[in-house]
Amino acid sequence: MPVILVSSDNQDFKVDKEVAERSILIKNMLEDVGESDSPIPLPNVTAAVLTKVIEYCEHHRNDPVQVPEETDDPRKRSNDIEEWDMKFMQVDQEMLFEIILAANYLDIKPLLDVGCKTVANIIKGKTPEEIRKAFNIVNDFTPEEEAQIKKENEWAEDR
Amino acid sequence: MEPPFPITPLRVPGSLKPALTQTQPTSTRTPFMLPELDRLIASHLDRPTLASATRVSKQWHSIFTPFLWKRLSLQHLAEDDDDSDEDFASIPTASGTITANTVGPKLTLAQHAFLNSSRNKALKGLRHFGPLVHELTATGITDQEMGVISVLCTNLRVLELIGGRYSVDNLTELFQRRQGSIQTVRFRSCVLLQDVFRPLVHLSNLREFELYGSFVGNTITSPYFFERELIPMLGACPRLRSILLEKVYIVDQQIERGGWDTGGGWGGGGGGGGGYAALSAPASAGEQDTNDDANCGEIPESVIMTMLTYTPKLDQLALNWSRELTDFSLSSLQYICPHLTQLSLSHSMMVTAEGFMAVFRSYPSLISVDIGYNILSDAVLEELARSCRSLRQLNINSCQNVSDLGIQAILLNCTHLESFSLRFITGLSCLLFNDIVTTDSSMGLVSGSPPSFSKLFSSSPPSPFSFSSSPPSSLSFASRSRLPFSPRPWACRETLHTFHLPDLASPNKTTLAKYYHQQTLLGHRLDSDPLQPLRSDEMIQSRLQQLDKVKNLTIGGHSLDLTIVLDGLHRPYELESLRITKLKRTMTCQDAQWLVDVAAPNLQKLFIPMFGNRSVTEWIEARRPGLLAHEK
Repeated sequence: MPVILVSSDNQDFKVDKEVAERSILIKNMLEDVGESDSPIPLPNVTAAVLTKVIEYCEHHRNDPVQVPEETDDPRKRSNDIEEWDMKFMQVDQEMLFEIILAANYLDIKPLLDVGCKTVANIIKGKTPEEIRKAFNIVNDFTPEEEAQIKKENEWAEDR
Repeated sequence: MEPPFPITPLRVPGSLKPALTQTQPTSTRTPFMLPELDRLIASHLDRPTLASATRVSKQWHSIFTPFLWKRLSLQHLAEDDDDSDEDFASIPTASGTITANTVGPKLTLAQHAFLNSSRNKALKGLRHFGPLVHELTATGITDQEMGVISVLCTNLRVLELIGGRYSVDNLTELFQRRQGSIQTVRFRSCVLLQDVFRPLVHLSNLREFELYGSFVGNTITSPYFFERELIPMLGACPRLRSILLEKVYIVDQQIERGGWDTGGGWGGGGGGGGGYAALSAPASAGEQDTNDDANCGEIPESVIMTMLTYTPKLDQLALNWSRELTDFSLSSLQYICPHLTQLSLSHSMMVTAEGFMAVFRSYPSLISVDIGYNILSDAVLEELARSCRSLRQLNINSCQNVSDLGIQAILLNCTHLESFSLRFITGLSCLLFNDIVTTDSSMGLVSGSPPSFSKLFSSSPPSPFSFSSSPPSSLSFASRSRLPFSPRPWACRETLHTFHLPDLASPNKTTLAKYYHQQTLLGHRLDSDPLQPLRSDEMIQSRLQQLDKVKNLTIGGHSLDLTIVLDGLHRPYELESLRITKLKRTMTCQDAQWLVDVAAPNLQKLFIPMFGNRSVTEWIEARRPGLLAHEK
C-alpha cells in the first residue's frame, strides 16, 4: 500500500506505508486522513533530505518500535551507532543538520538519536577552538570573557 | 567534515552563521536552534566536553551551560576549612568583572566570605549557576558548604549526600529553604545522622528517600519510631513514593542483639497508584566483623505487615533477606496489598515451598518474581507456571532443591516469559532442554494430544501443563499415548530475550532414569549402552533454534561447545551480551574471531572464563576494546 510524500520543492516520493509510518508525524496524519490516496505534503523537507530520510526508513523498516526510554543518563550509550548508520551519516555538515531537523519534524526518533549522537561525536573531546573550526563558528567572546569562563569551568574539565 | 571555505563568516554576535558555499544563503539552519535538540545532543556529551562547548561562543555558552550544571558533583576540598572568619572584614571579589549577586538568593556576609576564599571552583560557580543545578551529589561537605548550597541552588531536585556528618539544624535549614523543589534525598555512607526523619517533614514535594549504609542515632530503634518519626513524615510528604533503608547501622551499642534494631525500609505514600517498597535487613549495631547472615537484624513480622497496611496500592514489593517473614504472613499479604505485580522475596530464610506456592496462588497477575537464594522445590515452579500466567520475569538464582523438571515446567508453560535467570543452581543438566513427562495420567493434567511432528514448530494451541512432580512408579499404557512424541516447543520461545543458565552438569540419576524410561515407552531406539551420551548438543541446539528474540545469554557446562551454542541460536547476530561460564575446551583466538566477527557482531558485552585464557582475552581487547566485561 504505497503512500506519496511531497517534498517542499514539489517532488513526489512513493513509499510503502510501512516505511512511511516510521515517521510518527506521517503515521498520525495517515490515521487522521484515513483511506484517502492523496499525497502528503512535507513543506519543511527538501527532496534531497527526504531522499536520505526515506533511505533510512527503508533500511530500518523492520526494526521494532522503540519504547520511549527515560533518557536521563544516556551518556554511556553514545558509542553505539551501527555500521550502516555510521556510513549513512557520513554526509556534509549541512546535510547532517538538515537530516536532524527533518527527523525532528517528522518525529522519527531513531534517526534523530543517531543524528544527535553523530553531532555529539563531532563535538566530543575537542577544544573550543577545534569545535569552532568544525562548525565554522565565530568566537564572539572578548579575550577577557573567554579567560573568565575558562576559569569558571575549569573544575569541569578536570574530570 | 566539510572542507574549509575562504569566506569569512559574518561577525554577528551571538549567532551561529556558518558560511558554506557562495551560492547558499548565509544563514543556515542548525539543530542548535531548537532547545529539544540541544538537550538531546548535550545528553550525549560528557562533562569536559560540555565545559569546552561553553567556551565556543556566546550562543553555545547559553545553550550548554545549563547542561553543565544540571548534575553537579561537589567534593569537599580540605583547604577550605576554617577560612571564613578571617576574611570577614574584607570581601574581595575574585574576578573583577563578576560581582556578587545581590538579587535573589541572599548569602550572609559570612557565606560570601567563605565562598570567596574557597578554592572549590564548582562551589564558587554556584553563585551564578546555582539555579541551574538540578541534581547534586555532595561528598563529604561541611555544614558551611551545605549552607551555601541551600541558599544558591534554588532549583535543586535531587540531593545525594555521601559521607559527612550532618546535624539536624543544618538539614532542617536546607530542607526548609528548598522545600518546594527537592524531590529526592539520598544519604549514603553518612557518619552520623541523629534525627534524620524530622527535617524531612519540611519537604512537601519529596518523592524518594534513601538511607543507605549510614550510621544513625538510636531514635530509629525506639519502638515508637514509626508513630513519632515515620508516620508524621509520611503525612507531611504526600507525594512520597519510595523509601529505601538499607544497611543502616545503629550507633548505640546497647541495643540487644536480635531486638528489632533495624531500619527496614518500605515506601509508598497514599497518593498515586502503587509505589515501591524495599525491605532489607541491615546489619545490627556496632560489631566490627559483621557477618550479614549471622547478625542480620530483623523486623518483626507484625511490624512489616502493619507498615504495609499503609500502602494498600503497592504494586512492587521487595522483602529480601528477611529472617522473620513466614508463610503465615505471606498468606495474608494478599489482603493487605492486593495489587502486587512485582514481588521479590530473595534470601527468605523462613519461607517454605508451601509458602511460596500459596503466594503464587494468591497473586495470579504477577509479572515479575524474584525468589533467588531460597530453598524451593519443583512443585513451587510448577505452581508458579500454573498460577501466574502473565509472568514476564523470573529470577531463581542460587535456589536449592530445583531440578531439570521444575525448570522445564517454567519453560514449557510460561508463554510471556521475557527474562529467566537461574544462575548458580547446581544439579541442572542439558535435560532441562528436553521434555520429560512423568505425570500420573489419572490426574488428567496432560490434556490434549501432543502435537505431531509437523505441527511442532508452528504456533501450537495452549500447551497442556507439564508436571513432573509425583513420579508414578510406572506409566500406564493408556498414558503412553499422551506422551509427546517429540519435545513440545517452549511456550516462551517467542518472548524470551534474556536467559541466564547455570553451569550445566551431568544429569542426575533420577531424572536420567525418567528420561530413558520415557524414551523406551515412546519406542525410541536406545543404543545398547545405557550410558550413551545424550545427544545433548542436539537438544540444546534445537531449543535455542526456537528462541526468536534472545539478546542476553548466559550458558556454560563442562561438555558444552561454543560453536554448538552459537550455531543453534536462531539469530546469533542479534546477541547483545553473552556470558560463557564453562566450556568443554578452552577458547582459542580463532573461536574468538569467529564469535566476534561472524557469529555475533552486535555483541556489546562478553564474559568468558578468564582463567587460562590470556591470549584470547588480549586478542579480544585489541580487536574490540571494551567488549570484554568483567563480573563485579
